[in-house]
Amino acid sequence: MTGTHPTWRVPAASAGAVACAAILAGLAGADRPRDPGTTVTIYAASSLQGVAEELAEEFESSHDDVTVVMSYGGSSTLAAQIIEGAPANLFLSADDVQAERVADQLGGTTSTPFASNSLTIAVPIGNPAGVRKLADLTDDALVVALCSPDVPCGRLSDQLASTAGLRLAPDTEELSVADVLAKVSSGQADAGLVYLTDIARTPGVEQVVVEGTEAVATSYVAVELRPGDGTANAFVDLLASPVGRQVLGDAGFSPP
Amino acid sequence: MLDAHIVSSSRGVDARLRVESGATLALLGANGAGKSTILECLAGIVSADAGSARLGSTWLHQGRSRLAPGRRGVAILTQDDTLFETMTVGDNVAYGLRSRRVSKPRARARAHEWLDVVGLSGADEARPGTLSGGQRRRVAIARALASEPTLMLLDEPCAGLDAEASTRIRMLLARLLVSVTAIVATHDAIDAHVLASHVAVLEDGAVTEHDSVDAVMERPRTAIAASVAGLVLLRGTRTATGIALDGGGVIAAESDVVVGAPALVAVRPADVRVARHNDVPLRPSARADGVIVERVSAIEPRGDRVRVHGARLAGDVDAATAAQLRLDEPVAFTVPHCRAYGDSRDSV
Amino acid sequence: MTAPRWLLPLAGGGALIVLLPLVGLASRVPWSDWWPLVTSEAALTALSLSLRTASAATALALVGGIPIAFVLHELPSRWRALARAVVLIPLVLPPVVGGLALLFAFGRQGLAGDMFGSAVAFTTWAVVLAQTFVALPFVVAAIDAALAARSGRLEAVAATLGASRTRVLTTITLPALVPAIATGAVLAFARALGEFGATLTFAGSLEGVTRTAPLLIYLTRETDPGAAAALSLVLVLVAIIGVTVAYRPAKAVS
Repeated sequence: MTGTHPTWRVPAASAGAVACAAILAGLAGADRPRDPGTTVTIYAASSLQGVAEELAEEFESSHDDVTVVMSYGGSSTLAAQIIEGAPANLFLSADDVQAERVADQLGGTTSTPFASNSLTIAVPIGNPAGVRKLADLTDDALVVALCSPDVPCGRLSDQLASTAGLRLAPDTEELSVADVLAKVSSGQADAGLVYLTDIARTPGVEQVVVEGTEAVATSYVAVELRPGDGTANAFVDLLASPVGRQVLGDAGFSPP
Repeated sequence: MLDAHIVSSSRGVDARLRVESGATLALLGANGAGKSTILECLAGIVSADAGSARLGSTWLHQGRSRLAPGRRGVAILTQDDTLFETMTVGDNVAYGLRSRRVSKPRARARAHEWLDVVGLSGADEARPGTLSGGQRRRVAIARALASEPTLMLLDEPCAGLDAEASTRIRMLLARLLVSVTAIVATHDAIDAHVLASHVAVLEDGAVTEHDSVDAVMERPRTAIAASVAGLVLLRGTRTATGIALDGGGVIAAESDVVVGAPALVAVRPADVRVARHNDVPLRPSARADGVIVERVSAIEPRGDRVRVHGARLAGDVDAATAAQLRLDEPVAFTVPHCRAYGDSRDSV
Repeated sequence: MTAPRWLLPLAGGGALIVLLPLVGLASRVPWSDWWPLVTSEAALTALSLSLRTASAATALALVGGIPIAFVLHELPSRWRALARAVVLIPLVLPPVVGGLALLFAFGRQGLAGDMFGSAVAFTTWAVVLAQTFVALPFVVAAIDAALAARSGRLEAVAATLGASRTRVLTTITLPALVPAIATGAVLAFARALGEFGATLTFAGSLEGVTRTAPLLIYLTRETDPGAAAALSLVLVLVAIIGVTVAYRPAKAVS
């Protein structure tokens, strides 16, 4: 065995050197500084993705020296990242609870509600199970997908059901509204409760229009994270402007 | 009776064998000569490409069609250790009978008797892992014989054990194989002498000698048979006065071989005298004086004697004489008067 | 074995990558509440569901995986490599892709949807199916390796003694494979217990029916991180115990 030693020691050592170099290069890349003067970093709830992209473009075209960097995720995930020190200027939360949580933890922030969203019934294209009203979701024969009461869309579903005096019978309580949509669009579930704004951007599902669902709504809140941050403030103004309202309305959001 | 022609082109074997009912054939050959292949073809563990083998009235294989191993009535004691470790010794021995649907109590009783026979009384419940190499070999022998085979194949049955265990196994087999039709593959002449009535010599997958043990061991016709028998084989031509050896030299020998025909002489090295060439006056070698001069190619200590090898001959000397000899130095081998025999193969 | 010393720092670094997250997990467990947390109704329901489904999945993986390994072993070698790769795919597939694949096969709109879809969708059987899908390759891989290490000599000798193929399998091969089967079963069980992506995609999440421990952990990770950490620790302990007791790397014995 000793005879083979020299033949593999050299390649092993050089492989180690290459690996170390690669790791160092990776670290260096991750640490590259950004120019804070021309960049506004916005953490936005996933449900805002299409809207936020459109508005960011609009914002950049009217502010020549500003670059908008977007990061999307679940509101609670983003809130946690911001509290841990993520370098965000503005937090667009889909949930006022998470907005409050961030405001409480950081202090010195400004919160502005800018839109609201409500639930609706999503069914697979063609509505194979013939769902007509909210009460149909209590039918055991239907496969119904809801959000778990532990996540925001599930809390809203509970509110909606209790407002209507119904006891829903879900076959699955999903971990996010995206999972509910996946179950409905794939035809695994006959119906599910999702946000109004999800219907337009999700192929494979259609809406069953039900009166009175908009009464139970979740509030979208913009949280300016740094006092005196004019750029972030200007973006919030854009959200409240007629242009902003138009873009939000087209995506299915209601005014706050 | 077994009548077999085994052909395996992938392993370079093309051999014909015959074993009379109740007789034991020693299959003699060096490692790699094809002994194991022949046994495994007969047992059905590997497939022969061509040829045929008939055991009594049963065809073991004919060309490419072959009988399932379990229906041949052929048991094999492989060279590698193949005891079933997950079973007791008794269940190992009873395995063949149980496979043929003999009831458990009867099979166990038979296994118990077989363990008595091989000298392992009461080992029924032992695990193979607790046994010595010699004991394991005994269990394997009992397992093979307990299946009541028509033909028993043994691949180097006494090899790989210490000398005493090896001898004991040989004595046991000598007793057990008396009336069993068997083939013993071996590279050791003593196995052939003790266990077999006939010998087939295998070289590079082909049978080069097939005769009774005495005939092969006393009048070998191949170098390998001679070497196994502990003899030096000399080839030559019968002359009026003796045998003119191929490569020079004439030795005196009695013979039935006609003058001018090829003849063989098998010489025991212990009977050959060796002297330094300078001590023997060199004469023109037309006379049958039995003196052959060759250069020393190897000096091999063998206990109290030393064997001196030349190109064709070998002879034994004492240590004092050997000490005077050098490699490549010419020495004179003196071959005693002996008996020559023909090279024909029809003397079976 | 005497390894060269320069391996040590590398081993230390590697160990750190594995150990530090476990330490981090343990540091977030609210130890004073640990017992109440892991014995809460939701936790017990999820753990019990996980144990039952993982056991069923392991049983199915053995019933299907052992024969697959034998058939692989009998294939001509040029097909064997390809067939092995196909069978082992769930090992390297992202679980969510596995879930999608299961959906397209056994979902209501899937290939076998008419047969299984309505019966399986959102039931515990869907969880078992998803877990079996990801666990089966572990059984196949363990037994495939063990079979490859066998010479087949014992089987050949058993056949010369008159044993039928079935008898050779049940009396010679399977008893010798017991350690490999145990290893495969433990790895399959551990994998089934940890299954998340395919279950989430394919089976849904309903307490007591399809919400296994990993799904509960994911669900409560933000609302109740302490409970999630406490439950995670239970899974870590089960995995460590199982692997310690039954996992033996394949040895080169016949």
